[in-house]
Amino acid sequence: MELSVAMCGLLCLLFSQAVPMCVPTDYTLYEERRECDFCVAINTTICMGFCYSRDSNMKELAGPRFLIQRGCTYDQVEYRTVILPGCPLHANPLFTYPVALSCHCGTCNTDSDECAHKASSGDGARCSKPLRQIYPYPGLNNYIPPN
Amino acid sequence: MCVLKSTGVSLILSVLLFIADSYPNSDKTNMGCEECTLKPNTIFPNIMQCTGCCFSRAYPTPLRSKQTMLVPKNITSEATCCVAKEGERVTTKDGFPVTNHTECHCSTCYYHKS
Repeated sequence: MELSVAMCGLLCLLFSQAVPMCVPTDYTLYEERRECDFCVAINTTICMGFCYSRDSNMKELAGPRFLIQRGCTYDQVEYRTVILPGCPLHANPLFTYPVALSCHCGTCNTDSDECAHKASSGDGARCSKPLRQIYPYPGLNNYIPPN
Repeated sequence: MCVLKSTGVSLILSVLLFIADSYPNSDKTNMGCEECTLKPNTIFPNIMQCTGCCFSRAYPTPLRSKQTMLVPKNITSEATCCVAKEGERVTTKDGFPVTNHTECHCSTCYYHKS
């Protein structure tokens, strides 16, 4: 019994240093459009966690050369499309969103990403309209909900 | 029986220690993170430097935010980095002007864009 406990403790101790901290995490996306009747909640995966960084003691002399600054961001991403319910005919009901397949600690790619300076404390107001849940089928890149 | 058990346990422990020891001590690996704190600079051991891990995330840009963007982006990245909150300018024995960090915190990343 004591041996099992000791083994578990040792395993946890050893592998706690090896567990990556920037990982895909379940996330619920809330989206609504002005012209549509509903706010939709979509389950997706984002990248979230802790990344190593280091400040430089020699910024005056060497600039950012010795700085290490990284953020947890998407590595492999898949885009999925859903149809937003309750939209009039003239409005575009399609909504495309990214799903994180894998994450990594890296620089923020300004070509594809909006690089915000600081993590916000909260997500803010989610919906001002009635909520509808959308459940895309796993593995399906384009989901069309039934009427 | 006891001898066999002990041998087995020792073998497993040795393998685990070998695996743990073989992980590279590289800053580039995405490994378990220690908090943002003061550590001695590797080049100037008498100078303290802020190093460690801070929280960050990347998520789909909300539609409302995307509509206000000049160039709409599908992904928003929010990051904080381990930087010095306070420091003092000192000169090393070799005459290099450096900043000795005295307090650290997770704050704005200014050099994480590519």
